[in-house]
Amino acid sequence: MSIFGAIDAAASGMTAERLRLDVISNNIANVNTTRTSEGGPYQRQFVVFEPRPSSGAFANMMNRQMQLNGVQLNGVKVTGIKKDDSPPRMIYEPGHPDADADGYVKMPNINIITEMVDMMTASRAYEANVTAVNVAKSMMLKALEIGK
Amino acid sequence: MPIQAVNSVKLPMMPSGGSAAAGATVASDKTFGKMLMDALNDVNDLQQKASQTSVDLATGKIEDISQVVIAAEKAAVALQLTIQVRNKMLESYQEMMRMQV
Amino acid sequence: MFNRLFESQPINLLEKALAGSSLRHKVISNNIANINTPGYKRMEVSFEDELAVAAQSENRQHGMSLTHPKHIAPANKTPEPNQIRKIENTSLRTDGNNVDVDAEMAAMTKNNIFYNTVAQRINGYYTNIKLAIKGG
Repeated sequence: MSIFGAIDAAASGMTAERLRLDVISNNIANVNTTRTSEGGPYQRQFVVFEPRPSSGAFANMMNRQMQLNGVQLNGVKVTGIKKDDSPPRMIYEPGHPDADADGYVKMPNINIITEMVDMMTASRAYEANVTAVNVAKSMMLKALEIGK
Repeated sequence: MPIQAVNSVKLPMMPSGGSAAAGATVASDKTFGKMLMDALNDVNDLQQKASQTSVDLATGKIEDISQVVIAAEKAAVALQLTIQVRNKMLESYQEMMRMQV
Repeated sequence: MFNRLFESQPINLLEKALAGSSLRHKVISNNIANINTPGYKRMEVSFEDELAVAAQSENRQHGMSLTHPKHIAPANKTPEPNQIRKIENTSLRTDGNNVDVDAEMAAMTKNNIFYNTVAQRINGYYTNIKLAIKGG
């Protein structure tokens, strides 16, 4: 945790939440996509987050660990974009070119309401990170006013 | 009047040992000059510390901005106090020099 | 006589840090301006580590020292900081651009505060010196 640890952590949160928003938008855009290059319908994607491990010099890190009792305050990291393996929605639509013998079409396993709610949480989390950056900034600028 | 004479003035308000009632008669080894020297050394230490935090700031080794600002502010206040004390002392010395005996 | 005033280690490092911070702002602004330029790779400025090396080598005094008035003073060993580095090995989007606007905005905020702090320290340094000269 250097002087700007709070801002670094919040910035990593902003990057992660924006990536989540990108993925959610992609899910919504593909809500009716029945063909993909791998075959079958589009599968819902989601982003996996984990706490970011500390980077930097070992001594620096060691020092930090001693002070904070092993608590890591380095923000968030995206470990990957995973596919949702739940079964596709089956829609009865015999005229569809991708319909099977029984007239059912395999639609992506995307629930538009879930995606909208996820989008709202991503947007609010992004705002919260922006607020954290602004608060950290105003705190530090306030410290600069000491003695003025 | 030699300036050393000031050195031997005892400070009645801050006896270094013994009872406070002994007042000016106590044989204190803490002379005014010694106290002044200590104060100057303290100011110097504070300035050195503030300089070191400035170096740490420039080289990115600071953990918190308040460390830098507070160290610098301590040093600045100490310096101002020292300068005012010096001015007052000079003033009173000159006052004494002007005195008709 | 004035070298002691203007070339002392802290003020020297602070000046270099201020110059580096100013350059860093230009580079960040350039990164943000190129947020939609295909194939643009972001750039960054590093000076803290260079200054740390300079501060250490000055502290250790392992260089040549002047033991005779006719010796020629060694050149200022402080390595020039403010190297602009291009980060080529990442890609954030399919067009090859690797500018992350959130990271750049955060970097700009950090740089802004850093600049303010260093400027305040330089100001304080000269205020103290002027105070000592004027004697209150």
